[in-house]
Amino acid sequence: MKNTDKNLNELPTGITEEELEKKLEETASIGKLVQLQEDDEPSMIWRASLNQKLIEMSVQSAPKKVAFFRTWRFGMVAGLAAGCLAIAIVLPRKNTIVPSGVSVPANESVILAAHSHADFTLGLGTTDGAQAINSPTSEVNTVEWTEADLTIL
Amino acid sequence: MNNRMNLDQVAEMALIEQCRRQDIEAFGKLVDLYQARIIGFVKRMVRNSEEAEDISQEVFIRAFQNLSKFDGRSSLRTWLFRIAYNLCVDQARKKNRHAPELGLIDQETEEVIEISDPKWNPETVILDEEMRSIVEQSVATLSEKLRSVLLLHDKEELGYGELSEMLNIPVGTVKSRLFLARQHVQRDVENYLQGGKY
Amino acid sequence: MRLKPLTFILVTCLVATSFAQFGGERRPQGPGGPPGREKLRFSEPILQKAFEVQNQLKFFGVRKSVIRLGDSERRNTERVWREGMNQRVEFERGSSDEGQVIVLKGGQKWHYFKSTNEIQVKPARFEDPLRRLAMMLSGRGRGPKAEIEVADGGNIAKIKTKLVKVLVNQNSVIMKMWIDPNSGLILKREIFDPTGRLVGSSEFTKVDFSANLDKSDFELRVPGASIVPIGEMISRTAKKAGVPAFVLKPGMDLELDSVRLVKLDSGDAVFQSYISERGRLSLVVSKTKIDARRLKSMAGKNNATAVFEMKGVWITLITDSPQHDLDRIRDMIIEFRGNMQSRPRN
Repeated sequence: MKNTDKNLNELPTGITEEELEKKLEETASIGKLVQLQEDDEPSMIWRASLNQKLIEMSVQSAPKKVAFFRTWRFGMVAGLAAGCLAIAIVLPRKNTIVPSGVSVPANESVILAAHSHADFTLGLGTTDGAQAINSPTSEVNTVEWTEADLTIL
Repeated sequence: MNNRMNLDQVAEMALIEQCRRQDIEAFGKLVDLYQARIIGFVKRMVRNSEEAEDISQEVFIRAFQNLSKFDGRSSLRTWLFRIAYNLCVDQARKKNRHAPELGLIDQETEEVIEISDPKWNPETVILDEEMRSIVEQSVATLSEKLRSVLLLHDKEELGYGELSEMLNIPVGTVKSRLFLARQHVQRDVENYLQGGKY
Repeated sequence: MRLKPLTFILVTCLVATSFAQFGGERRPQGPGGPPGREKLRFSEPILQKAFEVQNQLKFFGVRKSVIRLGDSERRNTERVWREGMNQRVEFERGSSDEGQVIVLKGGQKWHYFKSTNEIQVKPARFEDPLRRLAMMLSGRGRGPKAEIEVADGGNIAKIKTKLVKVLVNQNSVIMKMWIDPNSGLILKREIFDPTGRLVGSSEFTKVDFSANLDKSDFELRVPGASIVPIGEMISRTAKKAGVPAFVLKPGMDLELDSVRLVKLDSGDAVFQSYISERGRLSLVVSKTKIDARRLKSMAGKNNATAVFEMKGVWITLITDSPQHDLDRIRDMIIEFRGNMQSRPRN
């Protein structure tokens, strides 16, 4: 055992058990400070990834039907192969759960992210994230507008 | 502000029963209840966000796989944090990371810090962002042995007995580690309040 | 060059037809929103003021905005002219959306893209962020009931503000607004996702309430630009994604707000966002099959979801409103067949 470990397993030098209790009570305020430290909520991507893995595990571990039968035939001598039927035993397969190592967001994550994004842009009151429809190099039908035309519209 | 949710024991047992039947929705509720705390604990233990996220996911995956083995002797919270703690320790072993162990006696000064100073009263110490950061940094500089006890006892409110069983150490050792850890944080907080270095 | 009368008439009809289907006629909006719509009443005076002044604000300002979607981020510096319910936003050099111009006028939004020299035209909604907030505060949404906290917000654009925090589940902040108590202008906004991550912010760095504004500030003059009404946006995006142009039948209280493409693992999908007073609805049309169970699990309790097949493609519906009956909405999906051929060249 390391020296430090040995020290840590004993009471602090010169302090009795009662004194240690007292010190712990007196440092309770520090404990309170530690308790008030905030925890980060995980990101949506983290949660979506976990959900995906759990769903996959859940699907893979669905109970499989097990069927087996055994037929015993007593007193039969080797060589009467024609008279003996093979006994088929189907053992239950072990369920193997292999968590997915997917690093690419699932389609469902992409759609939910787009849904949330629409909400956020609405709440922000600036651009709505619209995309250009025409391609920069494609031929476009153009019309020329004047101020009068726009005013009418 | 802490974002904690508490279930009474009856509701928790009902939720566990549903989860045992591999009910994904029920397990999702369980994740909702504990995800922030587990991630918070793991992040403070391994001090690497990416690793922490992987480990935190693994905590819930293992919980989902092994809920049938949860016998209810400890609380669900204790059981989850035990999984989390073990995974953090495994990770640290892989990386062979160590923070220097603190001696019992303060090497720089043997001064005993006066605890009864009203400065230490959480009612008067305002937990602003800067203070939070000081406490966070101080906790991060603790050794794994002291940090785990401080976080599991003071933050996650696990009892001495639960910690003794989880960490496989005597209750007296739990208390002494807790005292050392708090003393370390206290020193850093005092330095901050006095405008000194920490 | 002046427009030939026949061309002008044909294009006017095209735009008007799109609007009749998807925009409807917008009546002038008076205090508290357009007549006929539910009047809002916030118990918090600063929010009520912010809502009431919508059609009274008049200023020129400069605003910085950031929007995050996954790992991507769009940063913009915008010049903003506002007079009542009319607004013009120009995206400055160096912005992610540099060269774009958005004009809101008469219930319409004209969005110019310099890269493609096109102007998209669609319905505009001004006060909906506050309407949605009102719904959350009343607890009528599908998500948790929201609460607010008001405190001093310090100075934004050299103006003393009040900070309004919107919280759910007692301590999870989802939105912050810094409001000028004198003018009611929301000077800064921050939006957080359910995990507390900042996903968007906009902040005025300069505001001039005594700026001289002109009628021409709220017009979009881009000779040679193509006009793309919302109907055409639907047709074009559907064509790009290789799916039928499914939309919600017009005339429902759900109005189409935006259309765009999203990338799924095996191709594009058309993503449409609809808005009503009762909440939002997203409609996605994709060739890729969407896993209904996975989607429901990921969406959580704050959204209702539905996935079904229609004419060989997959329709996904997501809504945050408990008042949207997805089965009923499913029956209101039609295939849009806009007239794409009457676009003569000048």
